[in-house]
Amino acid sequence: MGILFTKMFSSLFGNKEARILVLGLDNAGKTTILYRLQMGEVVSTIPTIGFNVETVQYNNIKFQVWDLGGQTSIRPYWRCYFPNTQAIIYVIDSSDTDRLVIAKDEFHAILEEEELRGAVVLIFANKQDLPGALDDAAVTEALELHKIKNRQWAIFKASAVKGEGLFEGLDWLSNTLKSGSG
Amino acid sequence: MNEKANVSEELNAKHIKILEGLLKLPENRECADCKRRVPRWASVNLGIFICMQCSGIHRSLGVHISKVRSTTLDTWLPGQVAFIQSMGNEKSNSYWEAELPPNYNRVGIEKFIRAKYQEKIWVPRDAKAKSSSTVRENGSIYRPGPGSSCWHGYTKNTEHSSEERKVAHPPRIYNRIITADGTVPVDVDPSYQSNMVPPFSIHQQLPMLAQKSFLMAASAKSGGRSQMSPAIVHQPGSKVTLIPDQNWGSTGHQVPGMKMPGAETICWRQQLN
Repeated sequence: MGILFTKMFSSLFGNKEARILVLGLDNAGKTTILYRLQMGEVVSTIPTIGFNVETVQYNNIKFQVWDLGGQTSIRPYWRCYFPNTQAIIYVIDSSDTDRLVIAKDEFHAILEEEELRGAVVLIFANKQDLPGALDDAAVTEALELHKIKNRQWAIFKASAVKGEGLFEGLDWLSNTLKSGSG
Repeated sequence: MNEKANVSEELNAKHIKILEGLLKLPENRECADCKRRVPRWASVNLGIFICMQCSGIHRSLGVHISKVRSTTLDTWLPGQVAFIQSMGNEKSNSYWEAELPPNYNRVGIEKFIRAKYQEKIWVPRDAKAKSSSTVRENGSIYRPGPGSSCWHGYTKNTEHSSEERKVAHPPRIYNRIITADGTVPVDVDPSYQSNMVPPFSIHQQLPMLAQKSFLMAASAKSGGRSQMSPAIVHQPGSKVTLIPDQNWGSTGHQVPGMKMPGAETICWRQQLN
């Protein structure tokens, strides 16, 4: 009863909560994005072995953002975090063209997970500040995003170090989640 | 094709064994940059072993300069293992630190690493001398990756100093190095992969012009924010639509100057490090 009341109260006053997973290959920029969103600053990072979790309040939504390590052998642990996830933020290093195929394979493997069936997907084509970075259209093609069925998704060009594109993506995410599909 | 999918467990175990052996060599017992002991990370294109802190700095340089992998948590390709076998910290530093003054103070390690690999200020003098012709040569051999039809060549980036624009030629001793792809280049130096993408290449977006005009129209129509980042949005059961665009060019990257926040990183595989 108490939980029900809290949920009703939250929905009345717009304090929706959402559990978000930030996934992507190692060195895609997941941790930098997390702290750019949370602190508004560029932090020096080291590889994440495990996870970071922070709360980001934005557009009347309290996002609980989980940033999971991306090294090859710790990717299988991502699935431990899948239950009750409303959205995936999938981060791509747009300048790492050699590994786009791996990024694509990992991405489509995630989408096949039953526990993530209802999750919306936001893709950041990150590191647009680096030379040779592919734009959103090229990343869309490389990730074969048009194969996605029965799911809301969007891709945004972003540069976590310059702070560009991130909040635009979060705008889309909050609007999509508010519209009730998340 | 996903090459990593072809690395069997058996091959991966063999790679780990080789890497463990390399890490026991006296030259690889210290981080190639800060000299901290027991490095467990590597730059696969530079062919060096580094510590976790320096790996974070290498990652911030971009993959056109350094491609970082863990020696314990990542799957390596056969060519990457062969390359680091042929290189290692000593050989690499004999090139990247050739002109480094003795007893140089490495306290500001991020600055040091950027000076070393990005600005290339300590590479051999004779290598520095050969500059512009090499740049053109690299530009002509450069092939963009898949899906990159929107790349149209190179121009001078005003954010790079003249020093940075000099691309080093290899000393003779590096001529028989196996590359990370497993091929043997005719003429190669420890920076050969970082030279593959010229630091002053520009990203042009001509194929996007049609889209942009559509985006501007969409922006005007919706009365939405004009400063929004480009995006492709998809809703099930609808066609792909585009929402307002902002055009920002490709420029040099910013130096991250902030400290790591107090967030805890839990180490599942701590024993491996």
